[in-house]
Amino acid sequence: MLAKRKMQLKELAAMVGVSNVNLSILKQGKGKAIRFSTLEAICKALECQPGDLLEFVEETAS
Amino acid sequence: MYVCQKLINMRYFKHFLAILFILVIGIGSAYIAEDSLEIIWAIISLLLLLHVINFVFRSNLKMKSFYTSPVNILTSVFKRSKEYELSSDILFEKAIEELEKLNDSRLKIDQENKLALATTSISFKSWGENIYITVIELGNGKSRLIYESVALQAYSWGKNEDNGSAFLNHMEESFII
Repeated sequence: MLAKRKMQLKELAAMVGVSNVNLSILKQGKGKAIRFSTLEAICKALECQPGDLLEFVEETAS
Repeated sequence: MYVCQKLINMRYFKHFLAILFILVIGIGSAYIAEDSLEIIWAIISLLLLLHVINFVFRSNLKMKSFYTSPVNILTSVFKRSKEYELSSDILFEKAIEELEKLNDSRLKIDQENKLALATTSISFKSWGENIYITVIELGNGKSRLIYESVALQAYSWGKNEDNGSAFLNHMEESFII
């Protein structure tokens, strides 16, 4: 998504109002949860839908 | 019965022992012969000197081992560690972000060794704390965060531990972005 819009993570972080490191954590899928306000801000900045950012992956039993 | 139940709780039992120790030393000192007073004053002076040294060098990152050492009898250390599925660079940056939120504290950072020190100021309730955060890369995309809180007092009444637990809880909650 970032590459399509030729946007850097830093730039997105500034637009969303979240720190670089938190956005990196979200990008890597290591966040515990995402607030609706953050999701809304990211969608607004990237002009996309939540479905473009989120994907359901079934947990495998380990 | 309520008092007994509290005493059974190890934390309060430790406080009870500490108060008992202080009382024994206080009452015992009244029976010390005059010949021994010079020795007592020498010991008190050494302890005061150690206390002053603790304050003078507390902001020095390189002195971490001195402050966390059990030999330093005028500090009490609380230590916890936790593993995260993050690289050490990101985890360290995250920890710094949380440390910066501490009130009345100064921060010193050693990026190369991934070591940070936050020193809190003296207050009515406390002589201040040194909070050391170390991040170690474990490999396979995992890192360990080590939290060490050093209270500049010989005995911790629990505030050190409470602050440490609160910080680690805040760290966990900060992963809700």
